[in-house]
Amino acid sequence: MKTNFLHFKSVGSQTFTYSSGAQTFTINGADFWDVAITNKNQVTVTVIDDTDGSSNDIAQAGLSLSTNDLTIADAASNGFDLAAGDIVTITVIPTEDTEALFRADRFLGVEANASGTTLVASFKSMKSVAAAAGDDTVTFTITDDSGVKNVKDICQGFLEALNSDNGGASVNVLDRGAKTGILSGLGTISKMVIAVA
Amino acid sequence: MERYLYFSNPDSGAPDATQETALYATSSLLGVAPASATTTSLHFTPRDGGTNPADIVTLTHTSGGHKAVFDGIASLVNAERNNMPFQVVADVENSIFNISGVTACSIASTD
Repeated sequence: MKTNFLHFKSVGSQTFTYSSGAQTFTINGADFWDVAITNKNQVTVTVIDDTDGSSNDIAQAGLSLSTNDLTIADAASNGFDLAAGDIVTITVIPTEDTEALFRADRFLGVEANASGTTLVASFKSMKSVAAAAGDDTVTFTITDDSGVKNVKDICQGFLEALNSDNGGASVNVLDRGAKTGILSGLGTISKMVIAVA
Repeated sequence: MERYLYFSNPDSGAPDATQETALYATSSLLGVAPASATTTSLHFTPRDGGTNPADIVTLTHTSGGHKAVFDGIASLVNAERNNMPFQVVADVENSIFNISGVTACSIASTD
């Protein structure tokens, strides 16, 4: 008997083309980040030099974060001297809160909460089998459609994922960055937060 | 038939310490998640009969290679390739890694 494994991956990458001025980029916009970046150590930064096409990884010592503004120091301070046309890619470092693989047989259920715009899928904890262990959750932010269509669409998507016959491979439930998966395009999902208890 | 996942990472020669080899029933696999850009944690029901915390096998792989590990584990749990009950995930001493991109493993258990 096959065991289905459900794969979720949140979005966490943003690309900028530098023009001039301060080497500061505003991140954490809803379109690009499911996980709030509160520490520069949560991300990696790569600069593609427009002049020679080289790829340059910026050391953590060359980065600073102030609320939503990530700044690349100049080259003399472990950063990079940006020139117009350079492409800056900021990417979240994968953690258990950005991507996870859950067993279908540890799925507990999906429930909307009082907000009308939040849907929570719960799994038994992957870190403990204690009765008191908290559940692992995947929380979706959706549009309030003054009805149940969005919620029902997602629930039906889960049903499809849980019972899909994928030949034993993992089941792509939702990859927000790649915009793929069974839930892609369903329920007007605008955010997905993975929380491994 | 129950299937099992095998991990081995002796420091040298034969395993002569705890947490150098491990065999887990696939039904003990609780879930999988990234631990860093180059590592993925496999959480298992503790072998010592306890409930918390889970045993963790950490696979080291190419940067960003988590999806390949996810697919590989799902495939091994389901014995997709060979239908064998004994599935070698990582055998460091013999340089056998049955998931693309994986180069090392470590085992952390509470016993």
